[in-house]
Amino acid sequence: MLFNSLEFLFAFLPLCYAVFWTLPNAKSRYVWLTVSGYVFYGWWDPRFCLLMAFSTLVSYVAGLGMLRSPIGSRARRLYLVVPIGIDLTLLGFFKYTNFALDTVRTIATWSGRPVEVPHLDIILPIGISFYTFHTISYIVDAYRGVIVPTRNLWEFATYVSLFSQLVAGPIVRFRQIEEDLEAIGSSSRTRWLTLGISFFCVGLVEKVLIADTIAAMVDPSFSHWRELSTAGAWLAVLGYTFQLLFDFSGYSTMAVGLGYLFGIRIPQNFNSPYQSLNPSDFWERWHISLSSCLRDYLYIPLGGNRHGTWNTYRNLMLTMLFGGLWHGASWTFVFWGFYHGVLLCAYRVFRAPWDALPRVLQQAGMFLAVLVGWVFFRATSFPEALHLLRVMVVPTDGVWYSDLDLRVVLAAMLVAAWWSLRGRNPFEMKHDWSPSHRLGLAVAFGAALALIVTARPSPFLYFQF
Amino acid sequence: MATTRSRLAWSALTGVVAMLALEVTVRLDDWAQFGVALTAPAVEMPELATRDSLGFHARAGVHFRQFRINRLGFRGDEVGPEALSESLVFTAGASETFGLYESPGHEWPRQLQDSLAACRPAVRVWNAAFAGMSLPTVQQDFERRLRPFRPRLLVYYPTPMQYLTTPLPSPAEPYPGPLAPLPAWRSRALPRFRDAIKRSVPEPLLDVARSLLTARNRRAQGLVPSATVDAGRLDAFERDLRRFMGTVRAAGVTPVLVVHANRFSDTTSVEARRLLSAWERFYPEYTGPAIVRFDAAAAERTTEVARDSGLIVVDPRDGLRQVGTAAFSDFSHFTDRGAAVVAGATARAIAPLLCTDARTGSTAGAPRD
Repeated sequence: MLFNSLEFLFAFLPLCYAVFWTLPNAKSRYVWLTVSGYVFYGWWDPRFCLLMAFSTLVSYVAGLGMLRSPIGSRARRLYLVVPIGIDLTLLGFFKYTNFALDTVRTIATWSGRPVEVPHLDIILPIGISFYTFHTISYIVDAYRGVIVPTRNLWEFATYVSLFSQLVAGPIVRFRQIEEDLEAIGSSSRTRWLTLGISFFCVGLVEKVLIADTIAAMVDPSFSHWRELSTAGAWLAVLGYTFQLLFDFSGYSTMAVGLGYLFGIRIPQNFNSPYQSLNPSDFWERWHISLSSCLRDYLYIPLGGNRHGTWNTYRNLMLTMLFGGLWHGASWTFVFWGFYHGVLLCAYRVFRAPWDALPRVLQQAGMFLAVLVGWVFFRATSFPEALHLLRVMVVPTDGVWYSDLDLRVVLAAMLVAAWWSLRGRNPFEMKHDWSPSHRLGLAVAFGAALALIVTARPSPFLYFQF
Repeated sequence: MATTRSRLAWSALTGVVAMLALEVTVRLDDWAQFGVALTAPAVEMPELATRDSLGFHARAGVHFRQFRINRLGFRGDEVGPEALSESLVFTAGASETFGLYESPGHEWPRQLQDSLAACRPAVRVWNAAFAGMSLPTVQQDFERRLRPFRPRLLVYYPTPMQYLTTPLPSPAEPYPGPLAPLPAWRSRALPRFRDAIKRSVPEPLLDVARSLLTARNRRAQGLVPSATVDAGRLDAFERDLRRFMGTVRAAGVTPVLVVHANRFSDTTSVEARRLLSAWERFYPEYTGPAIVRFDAAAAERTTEVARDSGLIVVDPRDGLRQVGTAAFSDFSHFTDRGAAVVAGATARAIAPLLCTDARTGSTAGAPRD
């Protein structure tokens, strides 16, 4: 079920909301949110609910085990390693098995000794990367003593299966919503209602009106990448740059809004990333929940910047390579991670001259660097990415594609450009219930609804990760 | 009290504003996607047809989403006077030919036009079909409306299942009165909303609803679905088809027959059973497998009629089978790919009749599948 589908907007959400607020206590609300989360998740394929339930139980039991094991004990380490091992094995099997097999096949072919390696028929459970990170962060935080593991299975199940952030993030850590989860039985329905509706509508606009409109040009363009002219390639890549931001940021904004509707404050995931001035700044603004997880659970444990310049570079590169691989089982994603690792290292080297540049040049340079990275992120192969980059630089005859009137797509891109490069993000906006804001939201919702009923809702890009 | 009243007023105003935004955006989307004017009257599918002194056919000058009927009353863009000097090919039939589910410009007559683009002298394909046009109605349409255009060819794609209804098809009664005007204003958003809700209902629920509706129709009419079709219906189809082909020929137009195809290379898969059950709703007197058998027998009769009369016959079924279920959007209507197969097969068959310029030679009608 998608946030931008009729069944979600007019059946699932109203029912879930109405029942939730009539339930009298925390336990019944935990149970209801858990059941709702499983229905939401099972809408795609009910079989995958078992996988999530298994992952939830393993982490819950490990948490209980840690409650009984003193810090530093061997048993505590076991309660850390086993559930993480299980989580990573599941993630590895479902997401990376075929990637590994394909890589073996390719290497064998290159080395002149081709081998028969099968391609397994594995379906990737939607959102597995997200809920696996939820459970892993819980286990690691419990191990470090940052949180006290909950004894309440339903509370933990609610945390893992919370439908607002289940399949495409943000990656919410238990400690970030623990306070609200604990207080769920006594939270006020009206306290954040306005904020919730407002965030949700803004997210809907980002996704449906902007990202999906631009997608009408981006998708056919990338499908016909060999035929694109220089202008067509620039349009496609620029379009994707904005589409990806507004698609994912739209989902995160809706998730925040939904969280508020149920009395749970979900943290900010995007802080105007295209306004960043350097690579380091970018990663503090883009997919904040992932980058902070990578920082806290990988970069810092690897040593961070504490052991000299070269080790810092090594740690940065390893973290970004892993970040790339997390996004998808493909070498183009790994390269994208590598590219951002290089950008971060280069920034450490050239920080002083870069920071001395005028602000507008820093922002433009960073935007261009990010845009080049998205070519590898979106392309399905290296030849495709390199061809696009070449066509963008060398004037080339060809065509451009758009399933919609290009003027409409360009209008959406202009709005996206202004909003992302100069405008305020949803956390910087004023969310009140003034007449103008209220009517603005009504217009936004009506317009978004019109496009939802016009076509089948398009899935969010980050579902695949 | 005043607060409650003001809250209610605000809620109502917010609702009205949201509805207005919905309506305006739907119209903007129609314009952006299909070029429908913002102020064009909102029409629904049945209103794209009309019944006038010429009989039943598409209504001239209306535009509903991807369905654009030009001022001459044929599906497609407006044509200039120069088109009348080109070799004219009419395609006739029902919804399969009119096109329902193809993306704009991909119904098979339009793809046939594209396939013949290199042909010299230039060929123009006009789509004279409309959903629900029965064979006798198509004949009447040819006699009253199409013949004056002096076409070179008429390509007919029959829908034999129309002969599974009682009474058997007859020509639509011409209506001499004035054309009923389209409503001046009607919401375009609400029908869109209704369709979207229908689309979002899970398939298993839709299956149950379809079965219940079919069963209710059958009960209401006292019908027990038959697993066999009596030969009389096939004979009626063949008789009408022969008569129509004779009429076309007598008018100096070359008739071309295309064999009807359906999606059911198998009738046992879950998807096939689902679609078969949807098909049964239109012909409640018969079971799904009986409808499929009738269609196969009618295809043989179509080929026989063509052979006996020395007509060109196009049988796209092999090509469609190669594409598989991706050729069909439902039981018998085409996807873009399915329409391309029909257009390609038809172009190959008729190009030698139309394309005589030596410059283009045998590639003149180079069809694309």
